[in-house]
Amino acid sequence: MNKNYFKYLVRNRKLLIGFFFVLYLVISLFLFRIDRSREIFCSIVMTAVILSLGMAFVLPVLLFSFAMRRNSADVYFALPVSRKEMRLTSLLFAFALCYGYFLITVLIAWLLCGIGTVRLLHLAVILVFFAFVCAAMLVINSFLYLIGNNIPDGIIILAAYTMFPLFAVLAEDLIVSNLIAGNMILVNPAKAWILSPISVLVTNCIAVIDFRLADFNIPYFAAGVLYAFIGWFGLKKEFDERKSERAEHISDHPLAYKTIINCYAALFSLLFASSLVHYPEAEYVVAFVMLLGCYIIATFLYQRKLKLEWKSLALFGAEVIISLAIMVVGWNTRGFGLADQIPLSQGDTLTYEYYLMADQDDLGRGKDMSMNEVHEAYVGFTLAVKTDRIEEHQEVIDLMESYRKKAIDNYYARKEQEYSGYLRTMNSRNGNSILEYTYPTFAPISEEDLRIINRYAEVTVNCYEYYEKWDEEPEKLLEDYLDWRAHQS
Amino acid sequence: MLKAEQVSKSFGDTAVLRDLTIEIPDKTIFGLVGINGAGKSTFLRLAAGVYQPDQGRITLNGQDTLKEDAVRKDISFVADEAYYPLGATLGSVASLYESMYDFDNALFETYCGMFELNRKTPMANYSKGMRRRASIILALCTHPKLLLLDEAYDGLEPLARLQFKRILAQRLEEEEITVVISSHNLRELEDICDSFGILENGTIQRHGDLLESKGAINKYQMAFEQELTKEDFKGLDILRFEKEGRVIQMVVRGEERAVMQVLQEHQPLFTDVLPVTFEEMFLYELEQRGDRS
Repeated sequence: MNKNYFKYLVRNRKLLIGFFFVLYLVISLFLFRIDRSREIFCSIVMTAVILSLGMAFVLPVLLFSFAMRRNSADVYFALPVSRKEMRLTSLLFAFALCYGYFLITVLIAWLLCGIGTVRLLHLAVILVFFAFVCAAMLVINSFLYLIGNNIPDGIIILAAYTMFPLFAVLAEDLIVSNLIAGNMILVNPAKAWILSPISVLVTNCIAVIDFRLADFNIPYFAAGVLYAFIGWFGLKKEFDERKSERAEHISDHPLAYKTIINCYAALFSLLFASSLVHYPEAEYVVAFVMLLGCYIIATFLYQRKLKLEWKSLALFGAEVIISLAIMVVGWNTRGFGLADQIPLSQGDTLTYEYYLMADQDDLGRGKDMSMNEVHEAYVGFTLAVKTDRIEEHQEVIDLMESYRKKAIDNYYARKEQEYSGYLRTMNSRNGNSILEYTYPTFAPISEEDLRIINRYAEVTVNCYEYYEKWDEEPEKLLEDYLDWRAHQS
Repeated sequence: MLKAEQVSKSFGDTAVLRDLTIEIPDKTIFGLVGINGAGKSTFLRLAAGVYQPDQGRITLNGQDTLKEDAVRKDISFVADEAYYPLGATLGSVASLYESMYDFDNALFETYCGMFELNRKTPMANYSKGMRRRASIILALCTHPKLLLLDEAYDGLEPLARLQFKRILAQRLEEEEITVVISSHNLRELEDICDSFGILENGTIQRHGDLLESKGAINKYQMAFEQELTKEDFKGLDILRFEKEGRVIQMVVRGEERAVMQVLQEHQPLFTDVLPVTFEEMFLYELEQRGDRS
């Protein structure tokens, strides 16, 4: 650390420091109420976290922009300070602001509304953990910013890398939805969130603030540490060994536009390919053409010239072909085998849910969604089986599995949803749902099979018409309904 | 002493400096000249520690200007384009120098008065010339041992140039200072520099004391009874030869007496000997290299 440089940073930004401090306190403590409450304290802390993380994006831009302009690079790199000292001093200054404001705000919040409701240990854990989060985000963002050679590129590159995991998560959800029958929902967070440093750090931050240490995600923590290391060593390389003549040039770093454009192109190729294999329609081919257009425009914009290299086009072509190949294989292997999987562990509960808008006279005949008839009966059930009781329920499980497999077959045969209702399977553990499949392309369960299911779970039939006509209760159990229907006819 | 030892620097595929070696002694004002793109600014930035050489090193009094941070306290670099942050005043820019160097505030106030610069005025309100003056003043107030001016002299009006010339002369007397100035305006450099270096093809092609070097080149205007050609003056190092009938004008490198002896052999009807300016010397050197290549 260089004391003189630190003093200069403080002296030169006095107004900014003061202004942000006041703004920080006002926004964070806006939620303050007179009554001492843990919830209020946690809300204030979360607000402070958000503000500090926002500063962790802004401060690297403010402190390292001098390296991106030729005339300021001439002045700063000629100073009697080593690059290492300059880097460390800038980071320390940024940390002092980011974390310092947070620390003051949280301590004030604790004194005003946390004493008695928030233990000292809890407070200490929050302060220590957020110090790590703050430091990690500062080094990561500084590294990403310095990949650029000029200020606009640096900001775009930082934004692109920050946003990429969000797009990856959305793409993951859509690809899974397209490729795996049952629109599989992972109740746990999408895997792609682990690509986001801010997500992995903030997720655990929230668990720490709420003191839900059981929810502290170890893989996320490990990922956060890894990102911090990458940020630290990347920043060291990008700043200490930076060629100052790069300032104001086109950003030609290997991790700059070429990587970003191709990563986004590959992601969207996978997404469009999954949609194309699911719905082989012309509009998805058009989507690829539009993606190519965006790819070409992005390449022109970053190169600042109208020159298209065949290598770039070949790379794009390869991304599209590989994406299509992956998705075709995925479709033909029924979602890489994931569509047929219901992995169960000891202690899990397997649940089947069924609901159908059926014909009153035949509960195994579903109502066409386009028809508007009144003789409707709504049949449904929930069958939950713990793993230790599977043997006893083998008959009904085999029955349900046959309907589930039929629904999966319909999906991969690209059949449309015909009936109003759904078939759903769920895995849950300790009362929490961990895996869910919902099959819109299901086939209605016959009355005979409903009778078998009725031996293991309560099958109910709702028939509002009978309720309105004969003042009967609208919901009946299956056997009661069938007897009653027999009497009516 | 500023010493460059086999310094090479490339930008991409373009080699700007190739094995450049030079020693610039203390207490000298060294004029670094060359055509556009010769590498003058690159050399100054290497000396200031802004750029990193691909090969070689530059030292000031034995200390590497890139690797040893403390030596940069004795170096002030004034670039061709002045830097100031948004909304900065001269005073706020000075705060950087105050923090990082042994900045002489009293001298700064004196120079501000001398050059009519108000430290509270935003730099954006200054003209280009005023910003140049401000940059040079800030550099001088750090009492550098090595002052590097990259075309910083250009654009100053005559009075300001005169004032700076006096300041530099005074500094040379009172302090151990070496000044390296790069400029295209050789007439201005001629007034102020006592040594020079011509940078071409990535190396220093010629360097030395300015007066001596100029003294070694003269322009001779002569008329003869018969028409003569360049071949008739084979023994002379002729930098330029122009002929109009029997009147010859040539620029020759060599001691005047020795040259006159050779010229007298052809019995000129009259001979005028004129000194060359720095600019002319530079042009003749370039032309000669162009002819040779």
